[in-house]
Amino acid sequence: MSPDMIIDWLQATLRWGAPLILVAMGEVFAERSGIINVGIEGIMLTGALAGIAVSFFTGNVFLASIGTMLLGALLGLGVAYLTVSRRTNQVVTGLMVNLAALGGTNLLFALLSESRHERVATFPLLFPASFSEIPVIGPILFRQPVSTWFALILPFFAAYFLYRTDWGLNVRAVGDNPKAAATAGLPVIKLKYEAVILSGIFAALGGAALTLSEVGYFASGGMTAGRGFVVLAAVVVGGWDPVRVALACLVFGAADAAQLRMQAMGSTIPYQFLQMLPYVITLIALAGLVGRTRAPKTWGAPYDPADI
Amino acid sequence: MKKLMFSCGILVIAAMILTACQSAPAATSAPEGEKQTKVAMVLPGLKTDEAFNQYTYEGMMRAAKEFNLETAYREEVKQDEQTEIIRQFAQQGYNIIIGQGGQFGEALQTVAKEFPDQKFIFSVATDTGGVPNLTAATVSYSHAGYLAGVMACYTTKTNKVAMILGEWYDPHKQMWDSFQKGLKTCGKDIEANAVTTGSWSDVNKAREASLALVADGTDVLFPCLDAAFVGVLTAAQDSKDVQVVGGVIDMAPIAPKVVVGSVVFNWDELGYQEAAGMLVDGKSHVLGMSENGIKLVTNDLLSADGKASAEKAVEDLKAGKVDVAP
Repeated sequence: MSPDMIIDWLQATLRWGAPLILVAMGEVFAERSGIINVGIEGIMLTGALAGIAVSFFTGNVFLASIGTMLLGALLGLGVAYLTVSRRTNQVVTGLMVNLAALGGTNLLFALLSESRHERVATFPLLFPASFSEIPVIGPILFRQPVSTWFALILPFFAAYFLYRTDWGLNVRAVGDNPKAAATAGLPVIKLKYEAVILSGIFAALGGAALTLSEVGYFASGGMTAGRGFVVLAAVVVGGWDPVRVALACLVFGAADAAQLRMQAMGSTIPYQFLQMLPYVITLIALAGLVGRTRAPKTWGAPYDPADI
Repeated sequence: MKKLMFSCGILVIAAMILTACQSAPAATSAPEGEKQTKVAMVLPGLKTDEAFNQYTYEGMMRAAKEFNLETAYREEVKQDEQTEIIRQFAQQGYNIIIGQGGQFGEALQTVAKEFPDQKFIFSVATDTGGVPNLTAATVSYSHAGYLAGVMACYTTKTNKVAMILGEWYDPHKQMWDSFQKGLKTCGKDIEANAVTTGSWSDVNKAREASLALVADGTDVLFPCLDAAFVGVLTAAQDSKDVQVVGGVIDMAPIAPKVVVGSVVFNWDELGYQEAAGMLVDGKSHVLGMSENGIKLVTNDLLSADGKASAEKAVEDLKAGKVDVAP
């Protein structure tokens, strides 16, 4: 493997991992508050289409990001209403969101037909193009669009909010022991709502990063292709810690970028095995690390304020 | 227990909503009492997908207009409901029932044996399973692969080309074999690779696969994908001196600066011939160049030599002079 190939692979790893990180950062907060938002796959898919649609009609990617995040917040609110207020089964609710999103995006995209074959405006590079001429780190870091940079910095902010602010402490308290939190006077329901809405916002933004970071196209038939589920696994592998979850996303990205390169170089390893590789690595990480991480104590359990 | 009941309730409601959303078989009305031929098509995807499902459906509708057929369809048919839906059409007396896609094989064989007087078509397949009233029909993946190989041969400068696909099925293996034969037509020593992404609609992965190939020196990409093909086009657009030989649809209108030409699958023609009753003899049919199953489209980017050779390849395929699978 030549140095150029390694640089290219690292560049692809960041590009591949960035949307996953964005989605994962919201999910960490939702799960820390006790709610597993399984619907992130569907919200991500909706965000991918919304990003394309707004960018197509306005030509402005920042408006597209804001519009996408608003839509994500709305979907997050819906999930929060069902799982927090109505106390529905979180997995079933999430799967319903995913199915509805798949059908809904196919339908809406068919209606939006003019934009189907036109590449829309995408996120610009954060640094001037000349930076990418710097050896090694130039192509790896400076050829990345704004969205990738945002995804790389976000985990540190997320960690700060989770561990160093009152709000983060409250979210963690709600996820670990909602009754004690309620007794101490915390607005448990409100905090859960906020955390789930946050997961909606970032899932949608992650979807927009998929279509708007470079591709500029949407494709019907579920173009997120299971990334939301990868994020659900990454959150567990990373032990609900923003920075470690982000690392898990990058490991997955690195494995996928590596297997595509092995195929491209005409590797004799059967392609089925290479395609499995990222998932196998995630599974091994799950099996090896989960025992040592501690899930939020009411993870996935409904909370009934009347039931004390 | 209460929660379990509630979860079950939600599941039932979800199932009901999903079923309700599916379009009911829509039949066109029969004018002036004459006994019309009734044709039904079962589709795995949406009939508005701007791809395989839509074009085969449109082919059926074209035949319906021309031959005054009564038609019906069912879209987004899932694995577990295939047999039931095909059987329903058979019970309603449809003369020709088309299962549009390689996944309908078993269901078609089962129902065709139950209704020996009606005709069934296993579309995008070559295997009838020996059932006399089941006919297999598809377009020639191998003719398409050969033409793509010829165009790629005349286009590559680095002598490295690649095919990008979602998954290997039998037609794709034939396509790959004849693609490599096409690559030998211009006297260059070309290295050909194939990358599978595991998904026909994952645009980002198709793009990443293309960028990985480009980083390895590949300069001609041949996508054989569903909606994900735009990922390959963007990778070519964003790289230097990389060109695309389009597959399945004509890609030049979408990316005129990188597409040298396309091998178009005439899905419309397949649906037309199936509905028109031209493919009901219980045999296996492959629509190649002569049967209008595959169409060659060349773009100005292709060299004059390349164009002439591609057109000659079309004639050779028609004349059966090329040693590739039908």
